[in-house]
Amino acid sequence: MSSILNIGRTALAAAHAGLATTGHNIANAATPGYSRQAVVQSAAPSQKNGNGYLGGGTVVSDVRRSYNELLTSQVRLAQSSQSASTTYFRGLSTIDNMLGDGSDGLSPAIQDFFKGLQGLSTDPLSAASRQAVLSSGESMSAQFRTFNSQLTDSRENVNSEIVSSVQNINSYAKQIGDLNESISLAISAGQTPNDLLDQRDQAVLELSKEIKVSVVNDGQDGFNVFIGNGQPLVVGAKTYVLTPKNSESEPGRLVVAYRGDTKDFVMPEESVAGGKLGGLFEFRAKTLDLAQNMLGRMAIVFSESMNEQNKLGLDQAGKQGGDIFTVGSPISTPSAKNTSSAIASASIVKASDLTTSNYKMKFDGTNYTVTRMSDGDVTTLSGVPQTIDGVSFGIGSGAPAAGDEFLIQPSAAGAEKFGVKISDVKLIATSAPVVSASPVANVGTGKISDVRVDKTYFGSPLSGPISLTISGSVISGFPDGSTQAYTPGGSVSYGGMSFSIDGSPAVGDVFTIGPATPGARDGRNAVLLGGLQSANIVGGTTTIQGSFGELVSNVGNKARELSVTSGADTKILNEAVKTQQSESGVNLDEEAANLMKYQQAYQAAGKLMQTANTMFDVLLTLG
Amino acid sequence: MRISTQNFYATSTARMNDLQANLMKTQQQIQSGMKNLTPADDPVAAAKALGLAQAKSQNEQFGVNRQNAKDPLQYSEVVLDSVVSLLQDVKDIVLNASNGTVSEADRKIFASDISGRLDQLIGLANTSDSSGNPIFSGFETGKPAFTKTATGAVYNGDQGQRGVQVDTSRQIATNDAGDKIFQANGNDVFRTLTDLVSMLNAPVSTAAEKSALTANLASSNVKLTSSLDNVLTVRASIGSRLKEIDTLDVAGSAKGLYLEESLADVQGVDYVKAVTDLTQQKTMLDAAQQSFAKISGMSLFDYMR
Repeated sequence: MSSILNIGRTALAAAHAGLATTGHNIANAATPGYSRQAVVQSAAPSQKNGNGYLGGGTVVSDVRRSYNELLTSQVRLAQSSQSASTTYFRGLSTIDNMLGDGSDGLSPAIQDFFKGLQGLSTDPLSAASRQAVLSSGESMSAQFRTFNSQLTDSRENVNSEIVSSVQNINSYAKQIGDLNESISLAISAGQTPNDLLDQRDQAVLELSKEIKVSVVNDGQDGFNVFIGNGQPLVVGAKTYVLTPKNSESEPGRLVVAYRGDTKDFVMPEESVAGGKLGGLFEFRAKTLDLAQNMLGRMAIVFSESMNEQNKLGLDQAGKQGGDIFTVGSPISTPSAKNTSSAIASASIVKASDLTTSNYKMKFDGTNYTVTRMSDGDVTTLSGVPQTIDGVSFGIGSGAPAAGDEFLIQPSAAGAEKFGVKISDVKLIATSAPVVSASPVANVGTGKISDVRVDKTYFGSPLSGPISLTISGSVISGFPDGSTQAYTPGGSVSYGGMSFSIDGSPAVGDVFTIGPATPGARDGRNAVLLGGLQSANIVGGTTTIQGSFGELVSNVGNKARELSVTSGADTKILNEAVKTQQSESGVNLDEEAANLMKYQQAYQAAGKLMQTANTMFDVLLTLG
Repeated sequence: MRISTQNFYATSTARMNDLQANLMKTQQQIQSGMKNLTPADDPVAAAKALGLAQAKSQNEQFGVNRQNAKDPLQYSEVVLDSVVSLLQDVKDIVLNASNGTVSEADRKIFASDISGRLDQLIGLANTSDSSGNPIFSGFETGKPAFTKTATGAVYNGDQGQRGVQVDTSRQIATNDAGDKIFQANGNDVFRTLTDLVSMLNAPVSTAAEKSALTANLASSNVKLTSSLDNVLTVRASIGSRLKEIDTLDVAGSAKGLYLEESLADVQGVDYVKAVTDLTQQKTMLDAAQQSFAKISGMSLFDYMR
């Protein structure tokens, strides 16, 4: 009797446990990271009886969660990739959207400026035309500056997102460490704490959203979590901490450092992969830095070409033209770990040779080396200063010590300070400094061409007109007494001027070259300024607009690529989650069925106990 | 395979979000008329569009430049027309003066006539444009192109050519230097006219003086013819420059049309396709929403007493 009662009792208890577990599943159907639990029953030990073994009821041996380590780790890896590509894409989209501004963007502003210059060349004395050029120059440079500040804002955002990501990593790591300890205690007490295990898995998954991790399940000691190139983040109950730090080579650029036992180790940017943090680093290094340098280079080349051409002409007062634009200078930063206080100097000497790369200059005690960071090309300097890629590298002040390093960014600040320097419209040098003539008194048919000047002309400009004569194949009459060979149509150079004489000059014919009259109605230099629109001044191979097109193409292509990649990564993640959920997720219909099952079992068990009771009553009435 | 309830909701929501995003994108394309909302939509097209837009802008600017070049050229042409008819008139006077029966009084009238023509010619040579700048003095301003002297006129200008960029690699001179028009090939037309005046004013009585006058008038006529030819040559050159501008205008406007079409091709939305896409996407979203509502409403709990 008591044994039947006992069996009934175990059945009741088992059904009760089943109902409780089913209820727990239903309650947690929407809990993230929850794995459905099931009661595991086994038959209780049986009693040997005269007739055989009589069963002893049931025992709830375990509450087990449906969990598959492989599926969970697949979700984790997919999550890291998806977070990385989505973060990179998000950053790219901001820039992509900025560039998509067709009608009020940078390109139309540049076109308007050149339109103004063309207009000025047909009417060089018009104050209105001159003002139009300066005004459109202001609008255009403002566009450059606006775009640049949007890129700088992006950079600030990256920094603040790094800070919050590191905070998250540290907090999840601590959670995992604490859970490791609690789980370890629970397991040594003899039971598997399913909910704690779920929580720990969820914490690792959240961590994977921030950075890619590899997990080693050490059994009772718990999850050991590693990041980067194998640095431990959590070992058992011990947690290591990450901290955001200013880069040694470039203050204002945040990187992530690992708090070791005695000092901080900066993690190299390439080793931080996966997760939001990896996406941020990739965005910054591969797109943001490049975009800002490309924009800066455009501004520098634009400014330098315009300024140099303006200096080859005369302004409205008859003086040699000066700079029209200002532009940001190269940035030189000594590394924080330098032992000396030396500062490297960098200046642009030939803007058309500029690349979009940054440079590292190192001193080993005797020699300087300059590394172009885009492709790792190293040049050993034979002395300082020396020019590489249009930039003159040298030491500005102080004496460097062996091991010192300097970061040089030639074009990063170009667009930030791009602006129109002059406000006096008369300073636009529309005229050329020299006028040539073939006097009408000449008998022959010789004609002298227009004279072009280069930079060296203004070192010793003409003070008065010179008269050249040709006899045979010799041109004479140069102020210094020299003569030059004459070929019809052949180019002749003297004192920074170059010209040609064609036709058949007669003996005694004279050709004059003289300084131009100040304030003359001459738009020759304005035409040359306008011609810079179609000149290949960027890198020697592209025009200004072409260079902008490259920037747009670059960003657009990368954004498209990331859009596809993040879409694919999201699909992979969804599939992995679906598969994992099919194993561990709660299905409410299934739980409804279980509810009915355990409810009936409970009712049956109750009935059994009632039957045992009735049997006892019968026994009692016998006596 | 098991379907977890939570996963079902998550997947359905994500799918509906995707469909809505696609729908919104198509709507934006229709509203803006642009196929590509950002360069990422089609990076190649984006770069191409930039290049086309610049070419279009430059083409328009060259058109404006050409207009600006036509005005001074046409004006010069008109002035030179007057110069040509003036010189032809002077030649007629010289012819009349060469007649043997001309009296001293007549000659003086002819001299005064030519003197008047000389002043008129200098006036024409000193024509200014609407800004008050002489058109025939090259780069020089601030002084008239010619100043009358006792022997004719002296040129105050230079031979500067005011060139205008009328096409990508073509500059056209919009002016002609005064000395090349009026004083070239060894014949200074002002000097010729001045000499004619003194020639006709001088008393002629002896036979020698008479024959000298006839010879001088004849050689003056030759010089006038040469000067007239020179002016006609310059006027012809102006004419051909204007013609070239017209030709470039025709080409420029054809190019402008072509660039517009190309730009529309590369950037513009195909409305037929977009509206079709919109309809299709709306249907898909509808279907997704309805099926979600139906399936999510099914639950075993509804059937348990």
